[in-house]
Amino acid sequence: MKRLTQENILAVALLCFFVGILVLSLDYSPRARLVPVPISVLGIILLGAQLVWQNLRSPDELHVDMLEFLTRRGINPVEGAEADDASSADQSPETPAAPGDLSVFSREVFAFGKVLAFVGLFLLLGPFPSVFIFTFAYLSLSRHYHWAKALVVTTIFVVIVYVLFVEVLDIQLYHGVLEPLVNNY
Amino acid sequence: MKTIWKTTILGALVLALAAFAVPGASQAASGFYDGKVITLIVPNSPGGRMTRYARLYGPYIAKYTGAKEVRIVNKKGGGGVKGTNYLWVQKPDGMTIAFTSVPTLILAQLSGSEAVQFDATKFVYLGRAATEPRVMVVGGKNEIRSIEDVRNLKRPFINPSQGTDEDFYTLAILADALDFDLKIVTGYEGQADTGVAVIKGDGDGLLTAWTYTIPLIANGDMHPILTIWTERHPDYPDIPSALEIVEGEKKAGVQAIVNMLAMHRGFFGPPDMDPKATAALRDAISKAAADPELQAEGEKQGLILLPSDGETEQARITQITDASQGLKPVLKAALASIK
Amino acid sequence: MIEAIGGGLAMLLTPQAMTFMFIGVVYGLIVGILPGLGGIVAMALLLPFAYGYETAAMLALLLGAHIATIWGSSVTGILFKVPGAAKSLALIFDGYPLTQQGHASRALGASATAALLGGILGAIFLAVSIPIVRPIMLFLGPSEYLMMALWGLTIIATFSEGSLLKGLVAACIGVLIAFVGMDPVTATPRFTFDSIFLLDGISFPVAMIGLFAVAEMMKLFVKGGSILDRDVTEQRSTVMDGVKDAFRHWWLVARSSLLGVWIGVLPGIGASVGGIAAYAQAVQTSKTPEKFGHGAIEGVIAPDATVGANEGGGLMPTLAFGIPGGESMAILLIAFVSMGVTPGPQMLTNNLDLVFGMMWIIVLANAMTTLIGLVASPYLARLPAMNANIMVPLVLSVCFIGAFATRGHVEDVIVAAIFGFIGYIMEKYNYSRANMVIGMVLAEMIERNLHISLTLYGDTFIFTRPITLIMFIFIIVTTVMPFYRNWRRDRAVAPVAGGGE
Repeated sequence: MKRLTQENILAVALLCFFVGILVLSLDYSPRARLVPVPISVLGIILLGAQLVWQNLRSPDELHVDMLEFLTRRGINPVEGAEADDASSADQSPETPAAPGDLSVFSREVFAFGKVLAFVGLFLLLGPFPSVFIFTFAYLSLSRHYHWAKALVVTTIFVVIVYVLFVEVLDIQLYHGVLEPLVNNY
Repeated sequence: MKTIWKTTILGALVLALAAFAVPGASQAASGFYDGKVITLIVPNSPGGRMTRYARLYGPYIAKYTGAKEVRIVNKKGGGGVKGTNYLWVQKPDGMTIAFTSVPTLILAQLSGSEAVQFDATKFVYLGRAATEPRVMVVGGKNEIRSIEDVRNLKRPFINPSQGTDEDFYTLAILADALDFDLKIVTGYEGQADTGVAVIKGDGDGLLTAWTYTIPLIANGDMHPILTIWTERHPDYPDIPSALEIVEGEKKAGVQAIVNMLAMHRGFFGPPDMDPKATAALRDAISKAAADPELQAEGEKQGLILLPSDGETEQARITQITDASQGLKPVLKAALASIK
Repeated sequence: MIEAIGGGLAMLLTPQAMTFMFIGVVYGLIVGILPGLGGIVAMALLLPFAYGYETAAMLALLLGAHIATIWGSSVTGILFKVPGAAKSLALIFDGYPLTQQGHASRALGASATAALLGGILGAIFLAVSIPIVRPIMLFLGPSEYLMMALWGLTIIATFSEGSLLKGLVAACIGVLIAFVGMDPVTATPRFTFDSIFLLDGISFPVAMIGLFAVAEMMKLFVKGGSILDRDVTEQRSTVMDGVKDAFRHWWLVARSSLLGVWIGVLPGIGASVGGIAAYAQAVQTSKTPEKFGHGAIEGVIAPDATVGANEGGGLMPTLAFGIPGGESMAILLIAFVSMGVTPGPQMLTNNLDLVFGMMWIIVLANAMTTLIGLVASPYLARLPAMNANIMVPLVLSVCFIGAFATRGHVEDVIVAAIFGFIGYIMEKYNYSRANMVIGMVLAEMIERNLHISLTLYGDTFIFTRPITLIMFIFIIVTTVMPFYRNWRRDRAVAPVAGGGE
């Protein structure tokens, strides 16, 4: 997908967000909507301008903008190297050549998926079992450590985090959706 | 999966054992709670005053019920409403009770808050840990010197407010009963903000807890004009109490709000709670309150104690329920005035 | 007076008080470093252990912990882009880029030193300004607070290079997100979709954990390697460089400390505004404002000096009127009540040594924190070099538990993840996340004070309140100045270089 298309999709999505806020705000009392309404209208105007601006600029200018984007965030653009490749251990990947758009996209999907998986575990099992599973899985599946070493590192980490949050900070635990099934409450 | 569970649970157990060495847990009394765990829900922040009262009482309730432990669980949110909604649907077996500001709950319900899923008048009240008189004060330099001045004021009485808390509603009910014009200005952030607004004259006065006003009154920055209490405050015998000056049909409403405020920091259980559990808990809470050790500890922590037993508190609820229909329109109007 | 200053110090120089302060500081550092939890939590947790000891020891333990959380929060902000607490938010704007460029040690050194200097200067400013605190507090009101918040908004331009339009859009989103929940002014549930969880609004620390830390970990996963720039193989500067930086910018430190004291004093301004205001002030007075956001050391020094000086300010509403200035002060006052001292203006006559004792605690606890900080910094600075494969799971784990711990709601973990996604997308498409959080921080302050001003002073309050009007003009001038300067510079350069941008 072209960068411009992506930018347009995002801008339209944000536009929808502001319109939604505006519609919701109109239901509120005059004082409650005093600030939200002007802000959402401002957002709509700004995004309208942004849409026009990014679509009407000549390809040259767009190119300049892209270049600026690349140089300023020179370190950030996504680099290659497979997710679970052992070679990515210890030193940074030495593949400056820009990878195909697809691989970036698939890694992004992976990143989103990992966060989602972690949150899902968290909801199901509660904080510490999920941290244990996630960390152990991440360390061993990325082959950064041998699974035995990963297990040791994970255990030490979980104990430290547990002591800090539960013992030192007295956090009350959430036991996860599954706990009632295990415990029958 | 199983090993992970075991490791975590084992680790947790070892650490938990080390941590939860509750002092004086045995010394059984009534028998109903022998060896059981009571969950005490505190729908307020873990670091707040309400939780500190709960932590003070917890071990002593365990001591006098014979329970193994009183486990305090904070369920903060929606101004106490979230945790109270949770209690509303718990089994009334006496194993889960709550402790929080009772007037806040009753007023949230009466004002028609959308978040409320409970009926506060149906809870089983178990006893009160503390309450204190509330007082209406005006700025030290304000032209208003008495509650009579407020009633004769040719303009609205301006009240800087932190939001729709019990002081907000109480003042609205007083304004209705004493027939003065009230303009509540919301948007202030915290007591310091409203206090300074009154001292500098942006607002006329406010309603707050008695202890909070002591240095301000001593200093001449604020001047008390009314006590919201069943009687006059011994420190200020010249300041009338709200119940003295309200006459006629409005008196029931003011009595109801005084009753509500009197219930301030209270213990309560789900509706139709097991009578045996209710009796055991009411007894234990009364005994805990009378325990000199608890009193000494409370004093050390700066927690004022003014206990009252469960039956007294339950009786207040009856009066509040009777008068509450008359209050609803006043509360709704107060809420509408700031929209 | 001198006697009281000495008396305050003597009160603290007991083995018990110093031991307690050390325990408090270490505890505070840990709490500060963990995301989502701040000084109030630290104090509330220590409170039960403090009873029964002498007052000086009790105060040293509590206040020491509170002071130490501040720098603890800065550390994670600088190293991992995880602001430990709302008030350390501004640290990530320049602290994290410095880390990426291999200057983590320097940033930590500067941050610790600035916090110490801020703490000391703050205490001095406080002591000096005791006589004028009362009149000034009574002088400034909601309309002036509104202007201060609007002034904070002017830094949006700093983070909007490339596209001012996108920068403003981000700020608008931030403002609207801050409005989720029960509106404090009209008690209207806004944008809650009947959810009781959302009634309390989006927790600010949780949103920050998501926007910055979770998003950064996602980016790191996509990118691989470590968070350092690829050509950075070793630290390019030392902790001492940072210490020197803080002293070299002494004038900035002094200004920021003064600002911090007053933000602490004024009851209507939250501490999270403090760091942002300090940052705004540093940008606007800098000769090289374009460097901010890319690793300007001033961007680390100013907010840290401000939050360092901020704490003592909270003491003032108590000393001037007897009103606790905030939640943390309310906890400290318990210590007074338990020893029979009524907090209030009479403390200035009857218990002046106690007042100075508190100021000494602020100074000494800051010194202790800084000392520990300077020793630990070189080791801490190595952490960002960790490989992504270790960093991602560990940081994500701590962040999610931290998000959960802020309020004990498991829904907050979901919120952190959602904000992580939002943060990743915003970063990728160049919508400034910094602007978004600035909008979030200032939105409530703007809305509250706008409503109060309109109700109390009428629709034309900007013109009827002289100080407000002066501040308003000042804001317009300081906002327009940089553009005007750029325009003049461009015009001067244009004939030579042949084109702007």
